[in-house]
Amino acid sequence: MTMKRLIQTSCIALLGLLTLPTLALAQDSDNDGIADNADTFPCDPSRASVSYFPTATGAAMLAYEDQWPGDTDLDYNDVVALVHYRLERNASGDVVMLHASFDPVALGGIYSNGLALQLPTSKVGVTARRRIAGGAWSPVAMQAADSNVVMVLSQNLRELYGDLAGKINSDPNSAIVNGSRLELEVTFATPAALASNEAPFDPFIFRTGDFSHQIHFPQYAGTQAMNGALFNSNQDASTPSRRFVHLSGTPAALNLLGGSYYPIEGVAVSALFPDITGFASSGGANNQNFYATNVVPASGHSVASKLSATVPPAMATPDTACTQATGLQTGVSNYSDVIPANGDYGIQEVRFQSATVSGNTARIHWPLVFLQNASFTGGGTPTNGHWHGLHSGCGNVNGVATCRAVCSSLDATYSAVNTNCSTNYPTVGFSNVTGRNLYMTNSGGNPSGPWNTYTPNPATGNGNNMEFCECTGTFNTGGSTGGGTTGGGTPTGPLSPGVADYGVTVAANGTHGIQEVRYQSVVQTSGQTTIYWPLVFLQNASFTGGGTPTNGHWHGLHSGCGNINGVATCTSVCTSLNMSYVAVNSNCSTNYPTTGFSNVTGRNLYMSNSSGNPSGVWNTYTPNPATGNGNNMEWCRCQ
Amino acid sequence: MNVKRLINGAAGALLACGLMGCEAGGEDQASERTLFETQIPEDFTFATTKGLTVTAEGDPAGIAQTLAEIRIGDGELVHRGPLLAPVQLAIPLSVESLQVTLRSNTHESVVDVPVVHGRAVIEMD
Repeated sequence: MTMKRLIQTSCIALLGLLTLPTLALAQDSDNDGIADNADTFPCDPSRASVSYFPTATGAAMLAYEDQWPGDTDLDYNDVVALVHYRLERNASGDVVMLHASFDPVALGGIYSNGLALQLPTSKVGVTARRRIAGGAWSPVAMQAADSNVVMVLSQNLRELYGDLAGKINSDPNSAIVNGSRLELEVTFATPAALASNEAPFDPFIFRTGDFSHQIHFPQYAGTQAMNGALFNSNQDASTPSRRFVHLSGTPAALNLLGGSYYPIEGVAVSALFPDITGFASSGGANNQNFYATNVVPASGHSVASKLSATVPPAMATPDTACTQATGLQTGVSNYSDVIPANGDYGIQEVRFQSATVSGNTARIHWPLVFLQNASFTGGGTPTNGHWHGLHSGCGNVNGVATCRAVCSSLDATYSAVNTNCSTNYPTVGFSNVTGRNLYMTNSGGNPSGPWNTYTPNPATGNGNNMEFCECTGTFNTGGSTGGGTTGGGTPTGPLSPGVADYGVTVAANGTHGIQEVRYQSVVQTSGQTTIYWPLVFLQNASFTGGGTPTNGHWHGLHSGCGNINGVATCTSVCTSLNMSYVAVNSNCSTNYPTTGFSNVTGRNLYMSNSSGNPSGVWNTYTPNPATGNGNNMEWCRCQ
Repeated sequence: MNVKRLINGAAGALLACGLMGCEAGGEDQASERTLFETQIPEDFTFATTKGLTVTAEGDPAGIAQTLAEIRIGDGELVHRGPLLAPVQLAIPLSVESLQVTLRSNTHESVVDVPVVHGRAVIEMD
């Protein structure tokens, strides 16, 4: 620490950086109040900046002793993992998404342990999912007993090593095993003021099969499920301000940040990092980089050799051209339509030469995939951040696996792939394909995870390319219908307090066919969001009764003076916005306010009740939500 | 379970060596005792990071049009985006300053911003 820095003023004046003419001319494509040049996500109104822990390309090493509250040998290799976080924030600085990766390094303990994460924010409106080795995402539940976000990421970390038993990567005489990366994505429907200066937050281990036996960093007290009787038992010397510590004052978990080594079995951490004693005796004032100074490699294992991936997953390249995503529709696209994908196997978007959509089946001709966070194997150096062609192997198992990956990324299931040994990709409109011609190998009937290169260029050479891939599912067929004059259009923002007069379109998750929501105004208090006069845009919804309501239209809602159907209707709206129902207006309300009330070509609908839950089928109450007595939905409150 | 640890003190360690052999642990036993024998201040948690709040002060319209890239150490990126709202970060204890690149449509500037008591303030006039 330099004294010069300590006495220097902390304010840096930047005279002349900005000029008034620049202010006046700056473009803000997503209308989030941040000029495009300053916006990391200039086309996404819900995001503006990104933060990292510990850095964009680095990871922090977390090391645990799993004997707690028993005695400790201080080798901190019972669970060793690298952690990396990416926090995506909106214009107000609140977090809308946390992406985390955990790369296992060693499981040197006798016990099997799970991994969980607690965040210092309410779980209301928070959803999460995880995946292993770049495979398919699966949902992660919030722990019911906790009001904060508490998520079990893995019940047993051995799953990252193919359920291998025994000590892993702790004994120098045993073979090195490379584990699989675990990724977590946490979405905040209501952007969270997450105290990100507390990163890495509270990642903790627990005994597999006993969630009450948790081991945290000393700053944390455990979750609601924690067995408090473990404190001050055996060799534990916890105090109200410092828990999970041995009688000696040493913790059960260490954050070794950028350390490149961890202790071999039975070797104390101080033998590998002698400076840790100075760090400890000074209360952290000295030897702050003890994990990187005067290291004794002979007492440790190299971290790098234990990893299956040496760099953290990269963020998908944000759209800077504000390309409008379109739906999957029958017709020729010549790769101009962009279909958003869910990230399975790294597929972020899909383009195609043409498509045939019939009912729930879509045959996608000559698909291309845009990859981010994908893993690769073999030669050819394919990379993320590019559009790639696909190889179908004349319909062999790898071709099937490749098509399965495409279908999975579109939330659909595999149906068929071309079995002929096909020609090269049609090249009309075939620009921006800077990647390779890839395929996915087969593993037990499913895609294996990493991509392989078949030929360097999908437009030349004999690539046995993917002439078509056919999937079955519920597709977004919006395109010019969903995104055009009769549909919802591109989502323009999150639910924001204030009057919108139906001018803000909020993306929904498709629950009961609700693709998008508009509203007259929104009020947010105490974590609850009250949506006044909501409208819903329906696709793939089911209807019953008369009135012939149809998909592809904006509809008003009926709240039944707060009866069970009104509750069910509001519940559907909340669920479609990844929130939970709180209340709905119980008065027999008037008609919808009509300022800005255009494009409502649908009916006034309600969702009937089925054992306390929405039935899933929409009913017509009145033909027109702006006229007649519709007992309309004056407000719907979610959290 | 490490039986050696159940026998505390130097004499216990010597006895353990005699009973079990010292294998790779011969050297670490001394180091282990070193850490065990270290006087660790009460309430010390071994935290290796500290919290930081980065704030930009100035005309909000100007701040909303300025991209900030915050780097630490050898230039490793920790934040990218506008600083219209304070940004909270967790950084290594040893980091004393940030390298901040500020970019508007017409200007670019790189400044070294000290970290003082968990805060770093960038003034934009």
